[in-house]
Amino acid sequence: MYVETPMEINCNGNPMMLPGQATLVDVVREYNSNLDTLAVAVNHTIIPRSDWANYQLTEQDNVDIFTLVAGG
Amino acid sequence: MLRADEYSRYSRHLLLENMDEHRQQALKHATVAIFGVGGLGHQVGAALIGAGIGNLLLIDDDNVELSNLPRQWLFDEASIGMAKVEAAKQRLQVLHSECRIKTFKTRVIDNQLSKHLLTCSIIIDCTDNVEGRLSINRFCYQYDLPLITAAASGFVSTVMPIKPGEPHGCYACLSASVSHHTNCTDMGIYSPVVAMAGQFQAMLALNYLTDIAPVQWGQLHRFDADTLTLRTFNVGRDPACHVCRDTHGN
Repeated sequence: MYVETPMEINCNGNPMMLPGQATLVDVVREYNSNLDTLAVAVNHTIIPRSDWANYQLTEQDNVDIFTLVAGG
Repeated sequence: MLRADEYSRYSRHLLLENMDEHRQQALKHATVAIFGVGGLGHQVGAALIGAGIGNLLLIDDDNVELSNLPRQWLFDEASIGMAKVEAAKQRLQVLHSECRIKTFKTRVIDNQLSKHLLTCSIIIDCTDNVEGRLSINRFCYQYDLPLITAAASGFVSTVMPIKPGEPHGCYACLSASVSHHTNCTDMGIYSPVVAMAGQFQAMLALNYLTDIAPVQWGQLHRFDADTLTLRTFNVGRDPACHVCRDTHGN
């Protein structure tokens, strides 16, 4: 029987354990349920929202989740 | 050649490593457009005119309100009710009488404004809403103009230099990475944060115009005053973007 190996990533500077096949959407949901306000970068590159569901994370990825602002 | 009074006026910049008379002259001959004369635009306007920019376009359709005064320091209580572009021009012209300042009380890029924008060396986006930023971004890609866009709300600010023709993503790509941007009416604005972001924009514009220091095009700089952190991220092209994809292929 295949057993998925968990992986550890870094999310906003803190270690986070995820299932081995986790995508970016899984991390963002874990972090905050309100996806609308959040932007996400993996290893310092912002990932388009349309790619989140298919973006496969790998061990020790650095994920940054943050808000974008619009005032001036 | 700089005049004697110009040597004196810009002496502290001229002492900088890499800065010289030719670069100072480049600023004098440059034309810069500032979209938005709010918290960001004040800082950009004052910093650029102080540094010796010869020609400024100020674009904004708002009038001065009391709630602007804590962070829009070119205005005073007597400015309330005036067109922002005119009140800012008056004050900037006092700071540097030789700078040629044109004002446009609009938020729409019509034919007349377009004609003036095409004379610019760089466009600085200091607007306060996503729609305005998207429109300016589209115009810059259409006419191959470098752009420095910034935003600030609450304790957070972002600054991003964008150069059409480079392989990075544009403001539309960045904007598509979230469904909702927070703004000043949601979260307020901490005055020093917006001031820092405006000065950051001005610095990048001066770097570009003088080549005194590099500009990392396509990088988003995000400052958070709550944690005192400055983070930098690459903005890649969104494959679905109709601005940078359609105007520059791939």
